[in-house]
Amino acid sequence: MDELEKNMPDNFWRKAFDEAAETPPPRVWDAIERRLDEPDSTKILPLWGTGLASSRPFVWSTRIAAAVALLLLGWWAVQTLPSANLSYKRNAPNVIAQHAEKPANTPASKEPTATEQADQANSSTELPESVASASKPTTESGTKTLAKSGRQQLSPFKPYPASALATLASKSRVPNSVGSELLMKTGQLAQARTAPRMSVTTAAAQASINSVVASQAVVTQTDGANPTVTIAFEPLSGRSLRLRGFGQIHRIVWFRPAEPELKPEIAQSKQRSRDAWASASVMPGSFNPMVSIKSASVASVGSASLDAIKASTTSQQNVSSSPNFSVAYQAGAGVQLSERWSIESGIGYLAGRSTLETPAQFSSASLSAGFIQNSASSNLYVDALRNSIHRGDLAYAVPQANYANVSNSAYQNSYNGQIRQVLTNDYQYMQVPVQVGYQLRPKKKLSLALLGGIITNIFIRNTVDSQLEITAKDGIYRPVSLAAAMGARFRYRPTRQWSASVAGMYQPSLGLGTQSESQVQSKPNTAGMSFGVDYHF
Amino acid sequence: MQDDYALVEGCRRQDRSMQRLLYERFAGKLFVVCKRYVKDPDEAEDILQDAFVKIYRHIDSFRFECPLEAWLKRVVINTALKHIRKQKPWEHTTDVQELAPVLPQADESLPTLNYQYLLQLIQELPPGCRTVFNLYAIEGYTHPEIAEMLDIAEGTSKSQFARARSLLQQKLQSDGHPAEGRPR
Repeated sequence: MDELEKNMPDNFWRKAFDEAAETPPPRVWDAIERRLDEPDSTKILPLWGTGLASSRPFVWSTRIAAAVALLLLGWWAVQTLPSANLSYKRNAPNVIAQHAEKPANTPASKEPTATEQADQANSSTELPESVASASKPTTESGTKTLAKSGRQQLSPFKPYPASALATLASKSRVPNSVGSELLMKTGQLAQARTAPRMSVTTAAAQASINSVVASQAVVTQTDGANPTVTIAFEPLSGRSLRLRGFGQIHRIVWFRPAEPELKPEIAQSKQRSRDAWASASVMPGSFNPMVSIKSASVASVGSASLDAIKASTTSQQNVSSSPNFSVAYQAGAGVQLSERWSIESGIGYLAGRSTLETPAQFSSASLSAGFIQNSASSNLYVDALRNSIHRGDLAYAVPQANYANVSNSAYQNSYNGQIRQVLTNDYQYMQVPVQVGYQLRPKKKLSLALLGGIITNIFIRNTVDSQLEITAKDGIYRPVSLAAAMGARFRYRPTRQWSASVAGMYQPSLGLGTQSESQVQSKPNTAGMSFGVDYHF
Repeated sequence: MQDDYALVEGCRRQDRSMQRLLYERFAGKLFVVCKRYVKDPDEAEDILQDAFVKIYRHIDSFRFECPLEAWLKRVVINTALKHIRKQKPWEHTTDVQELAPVLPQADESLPTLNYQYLLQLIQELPPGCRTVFNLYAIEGYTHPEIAEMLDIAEGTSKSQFARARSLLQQKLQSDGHPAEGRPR
């Protein structure tokens, strides 16, 4: 009190409230009384401890004790659970045997447990007194008896009523009882069917049971009067109710779902990266056969052409070919070997046109200043082709008269450099490319790949100026020649299956496209832009 | 004192009738104390309820070293402070030095006013100011004691008190009591 009185800076306020009082509401005292009646057990035990509990030895000893207790608990669990499972497995057949051994008309010899009562309810057919009374033809007494017994035994909070279940089961299974073969109406059948399936002790179940018994009684009463539909039914035997006790788990269901076979991750990645596709493309471009006349080999040719070749050699006359439009069609397929590498192949058709300028031959009939256009077999190129044709095929390829003209000495100096003739050559090849691709932008929607490979060109024919047609059989062109292929390809893949590609390709020949003994030498090359559509599998 | 002794002894025996007598005797005054510290009447009832439960459960600690009323009042004040402390009304307070020039002095010339009017004025104060004002001006604690009780700085206690007095004087002046607002 002294402490309170020693500092009074403002007596006005203190005096104002010195005697102030205000009666609190009665509920305050009521609340105080309630709280006083409650036990004062709201103590909080601090986990961190105070005093002795906070000392380090005590904390460590507590931790050690807790660890030992956990170890002991774990050891006990390990030692106990397997034995429990074994005992369960050992006892399980006995339980089943007990169920099986219960005869249909054998009464229980001993006082059953709650579980056994439930089991017997499904297997035993002995009628309890309540059911016996219910099976009597007297409607009122039967209904009342069972309903009364049901009320007494069925409780929402009590275990499964064994006698009630026994009533239902026996009624449905005993041949001579009322429930075995019922003459009932359709609505009552529904009630009877649903009632034996009840396995939950609820008020609804009780009502259903009562309704079944009542309906049975009614049906029995009207047995002789109404010849209604006769329906025999076998109610489903419900599972016996088994109360689960506390403690160990008595049943462990081992279930292992089907798992896909695990493959090594590397193999999976390879499999994933092996994207395969089929493609169709067209490549417009230019085709240059790079034709030349081989003078050195002329000596081996027949004497008929010797003079003419000498004349051309001495006058330094030769042919010159220039590229012209070509188009190549290709259908192919490819596969991705790895993330970056791919290989592809296919088959194609190349139609290449080139323009060839060749020295022409003097001829009085066709002489004129400048070039001589479309003058058959009057130029060096055509004569060289004819000279290169194999003898066996000569009559087929070139008229003999024309060939004789070449050998005529009068034409020895006829290949004049001032007269040149322009010829068109239409080449046709079948192509089989084998290319390797290296992805610079793998797994991108817009990918870029470098391509390189070899193309096998299969010569089909060459049509010179729409008049002379040279095929592979003529022995001038190699039937099969190789060419390199190199280029770069952009591929845009908007969907998983479809993509479009644009490639720039250059295909130089790796060797002569003509036979080595042929006067006409050709080393064609092709360049162009390929546009394709790809379908990815 | 003789009655107080009987009441305390009865409460120690947990005699409900004696507990009731103790309550009826002091609850009115203590309820006003509660209402001075909190504005909400329901909160005041809760504080009073908690305080009496503590009183009954710890009556053994009362040694008659001070008047029973003072001890009860201190229990109530402590309970109220515990209740207020949860709300932390002293955050964002101003130091006393900033308000020193305007600190009013105590004025004992105030006329006697109805305590309900004054109670209403006190309840209108901000919580921090109200608590410090109650403890300093009415209960008689010093600023160091208030600082320790409320776990605040002493300067904060002073500034809060100054602010409370200023607000109260303004209110009194506006209500027609100019003498209270005159600083000395």
